Amino acid sequence: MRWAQILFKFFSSLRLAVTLIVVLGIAFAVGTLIESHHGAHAAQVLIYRTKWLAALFFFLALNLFASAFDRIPWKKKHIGFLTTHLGIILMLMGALVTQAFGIEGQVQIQEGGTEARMTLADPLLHVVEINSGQRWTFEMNQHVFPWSGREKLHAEFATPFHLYLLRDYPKAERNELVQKTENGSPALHLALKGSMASVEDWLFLDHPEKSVIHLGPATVRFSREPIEIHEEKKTSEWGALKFDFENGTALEIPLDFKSAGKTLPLNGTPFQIKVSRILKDAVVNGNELVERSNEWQNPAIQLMLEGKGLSEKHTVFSKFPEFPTLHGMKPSEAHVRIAYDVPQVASGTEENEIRFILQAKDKKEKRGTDYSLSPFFLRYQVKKGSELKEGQVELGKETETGWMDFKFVVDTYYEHAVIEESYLPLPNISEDVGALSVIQVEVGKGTEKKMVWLSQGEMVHAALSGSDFHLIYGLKTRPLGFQVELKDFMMDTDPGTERPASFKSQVILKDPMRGIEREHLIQMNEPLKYNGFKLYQSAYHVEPGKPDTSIFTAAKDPGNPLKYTGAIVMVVGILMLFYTKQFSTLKGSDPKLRSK
Amino acid sequence: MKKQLVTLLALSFSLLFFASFARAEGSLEKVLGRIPVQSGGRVKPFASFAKENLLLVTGKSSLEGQDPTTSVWRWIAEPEVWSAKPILPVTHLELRKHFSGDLVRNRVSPILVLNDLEFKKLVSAAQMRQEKEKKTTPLEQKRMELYHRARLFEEIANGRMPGFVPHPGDPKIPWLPLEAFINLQGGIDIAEKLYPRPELEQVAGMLSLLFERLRGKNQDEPLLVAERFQKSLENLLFSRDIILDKNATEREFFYLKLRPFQLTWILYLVSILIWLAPNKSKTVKRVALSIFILGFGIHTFGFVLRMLIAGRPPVTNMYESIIWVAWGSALFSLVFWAFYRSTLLPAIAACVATLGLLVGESFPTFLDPSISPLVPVLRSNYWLTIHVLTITLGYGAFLFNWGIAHTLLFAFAFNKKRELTDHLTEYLYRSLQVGVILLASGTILGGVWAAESWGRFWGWDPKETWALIAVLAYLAVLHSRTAGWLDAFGVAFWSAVSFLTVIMAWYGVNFVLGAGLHSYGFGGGGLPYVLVFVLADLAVILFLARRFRIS
Repeated sequence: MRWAQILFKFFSSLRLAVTLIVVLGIAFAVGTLIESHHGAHAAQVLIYRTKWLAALFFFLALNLFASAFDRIPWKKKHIGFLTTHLGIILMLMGALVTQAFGIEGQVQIQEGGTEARMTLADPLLHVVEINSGQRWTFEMNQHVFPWSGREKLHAEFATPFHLYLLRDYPKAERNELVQKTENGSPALHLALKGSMASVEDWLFLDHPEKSVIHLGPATVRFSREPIEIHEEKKTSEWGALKFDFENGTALEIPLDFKSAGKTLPLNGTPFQIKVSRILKDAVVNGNELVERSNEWQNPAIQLMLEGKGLSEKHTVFSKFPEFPTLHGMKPSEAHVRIAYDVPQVASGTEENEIRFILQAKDKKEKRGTDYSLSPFFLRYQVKKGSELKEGQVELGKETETGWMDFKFVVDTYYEHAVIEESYLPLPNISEDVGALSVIQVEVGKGTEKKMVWLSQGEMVHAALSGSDFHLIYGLKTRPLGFQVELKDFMMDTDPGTERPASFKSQVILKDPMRGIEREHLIQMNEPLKYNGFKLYQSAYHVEPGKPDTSIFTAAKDPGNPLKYTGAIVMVVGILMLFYTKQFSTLKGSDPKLRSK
Repeated sequence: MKKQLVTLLALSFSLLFFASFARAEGSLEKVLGRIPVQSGGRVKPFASFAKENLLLVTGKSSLEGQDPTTSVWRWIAEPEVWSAKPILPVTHLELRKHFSGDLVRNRVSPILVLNDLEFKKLVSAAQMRQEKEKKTTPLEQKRMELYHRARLFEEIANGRMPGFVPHPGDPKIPWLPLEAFINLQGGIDIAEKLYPRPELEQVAGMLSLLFERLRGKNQDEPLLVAERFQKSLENLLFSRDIILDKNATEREFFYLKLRPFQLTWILYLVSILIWLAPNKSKTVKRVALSIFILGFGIHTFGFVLRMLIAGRPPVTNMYESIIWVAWGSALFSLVFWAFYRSTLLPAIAACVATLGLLVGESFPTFLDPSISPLVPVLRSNYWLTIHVLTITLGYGAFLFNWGIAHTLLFAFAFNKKRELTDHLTEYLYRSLQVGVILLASGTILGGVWAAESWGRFWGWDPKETWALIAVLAYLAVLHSRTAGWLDAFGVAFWSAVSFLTVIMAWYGVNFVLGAGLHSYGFGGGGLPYVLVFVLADLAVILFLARRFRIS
């Protein structure tokens, strides 16, 4: 019995209370420092979600209970003290409920799209065998800091292969190393230097991404085909109409000054066009298009598209090819896109280009300039507006481009090269836009093994002893229990600036099981509340030419009622303790505490 | 005799109060500074724009002894002259080396910065790194800062900002700047689509006349033209039925000229000096208290004025929160005074409030005093406002507590009377209680607001965590006191030390840790000053403790 008394005394002591308060305070302070240096995830894993912190909270609760029971029999003056401590206990219980049942995840929706699932923060590895369609998922714990080692990953079912985690970088930077090889595509390293900017990069022949560098108004390309000089094609000043049908048929109809008023057939299609008007410099006046001048400033053409019982009036502006051509902004029933090309206002996108051309060597002619034993040679073309200049590429020699003071140098050329990818870990708090979460795994089947880098959200193909696999490193998802459709994302700005003032998302909430479908406007401090979930706007993504994307955070916290009650009870308790005499054990400035 | 003294004092202060307006009678600043312009996301008087941007460009609050409005108008009148003057501060040593040949008192001229191709290359490299959201070095930041100063000067001097003429259909889109009237060919053509030509030409004519007069050395001459320019601008807007809210502009101009918070700390300081008078008669104390209350009145008035201008409670950046916290301390001292009738309490509050306001008013580069629109998170939320006000009021109570703690430590160290220390012990304890209840409930209100708008009550965000740590620190002091481990001296010592956690929650989270959801709108800088302050305070506390232990 004696030890129980000692234990009770220990748990009800003020000494324990003060010790716990101080230790908790220090732990939290360390937590914020960790967050500042290594990110919020690290602070959660190392401090806030640890077992020892939970144990400290448990001791705190015990301490609060014990100190309350220690005061038995309770008198009126204990009410303030008891209420305060009851409030804290209720709040701690609320925290426990949150820990056990709380959910938080992200919901990303494009305008016009509907989403019924939320993405959680836990990583997950999917493996799909392509032939059989069988899929396995591997749960894994993301490491707080860049990790390397060898850890076997387990799926919920037996797998015909084995999987080891070799590296886990929460944030990493992709590095590409170009290596000379026996087989691979031709590559060259280019440096473009000017007083305003300089660029250097590798170009790979006919590579889907690596064959082009876009530099604002100019392009650099590595190709087998030389630049076609359109100017020589001799289109008339009246330009040409281009039709792109969705079924793949493409037509070009040259126009001249007599075209207006004519009916022209669209060969190979059931349609024909009737050109009503061609305007050189169209402006909208009232509700009508009128000619402003006789210069090719803003060419436009009005035409009727007829055939198959269809008769549509289109207005096509050559400067705004992405503009819907039909009144009312509907797409054409004929499933066609119409563009009007006028040479005087050729869209300025690729007016400037440097192109490197790899050509098979003609042995008879080019012997004199031969500088390597390769059966190919490299030429360059520089196009500036309608001027074209060309020549032989010489390694390491600076060549004037004629674009301002830019010069280019090709310093390396490999006939065969490959890109070897590698990843370097970055600090957790790196805000580098190129930072990726990556892992490296080893997949093995029988005696064959393969090491694969997987970046989050990307699918990688791996062939292993006759079977093809897809590996995806993603995040765990779970159903929301309802659907959300994003109708419109809106952003207001402060008057006269580009600074965002507010974000709003017009959404439709759908719950087919209950037959609910209603509209809701989600904005800052006004989340969508449904089924215990709160959906609030946490981010957005706006990019020209693409539908806007809203990113919502969905959260459910069933501990809230307990916490609210606890908070109110605690504050009332403190008020009684501090500011009433009959419910308080505190006697103001205790004479004992006065200066000796 | 005594009554006369009081009246005399009251009279001299009201004179001081109005002197600042009388001085500006019929000046250029009064005419040109009152013109409403659009800048930084809202409409404000030109004087406000000039004050903010003079500071941004030159890092000073006045240039060549002229008021900001006149200075900035001279830039616009003579861009070539001013762009050749060394007005941009160069603070970084490496940068000083770069411009070593051209520095005048460590300042360089905008034209040199803008025409330096090599420098521009370095700046664009730094900008590229920043765009990729990589960390930039202090040197790179200083380079970009200097370049931005020069660019801002260029924009203003060429009349490209601020906006003077709103779009008649939509006042939210960018207003037409003066450039539209300077560059006659292109500018007026654009403006003509919005406004009738004769009025536009009138404004342009007045403007060029004003420029001519401003280029002359005579101060008085431009005044008449300035008035006519202002009239012509008003006429122009009038021709499209636009009348801008004159009251709002007048209010802000009045606020700018009054500088209420400067006036407040001067009054607080005067009240302390009078209170410290060796002959502590009842009258002296009463005079000190009256001046303190007058100061508090102006403090409150300034706050309300700022609230009316901004259209929101002004506690959204460091500058505003310092003003509010100082106000809180003064308020609590008056409440305490009502209970205990001791003028010592307002005197202590006057000390801490003066300190706070002085800090707030002296570092405009770190503590931006300009009024700017809110970031989206903080908009239109009643509960959020209550949450922030409660927490910062809690800081105010702790600031007051900190002042009392220092006074008590001083009293102990220098063997003051038993009666004094007993009283101070009581005040210290009561102020601790006020602080704890406000900070605790403010933190909880933050949780309630977060739960309502983000669906979670507690997210271990550094700001909320540090508010909790501050509460825990003071709770530890209170519990140790109850346990009898801390005597009056111990409570004073530890509550003075605990104020460091408040400084961390208030300032440190945004400036030192720089992480989390609360790190908006607070800018950066001033860390060395805060560190020096914290260390100096610790040294003082330890010195007093040591002296007490010896005696």
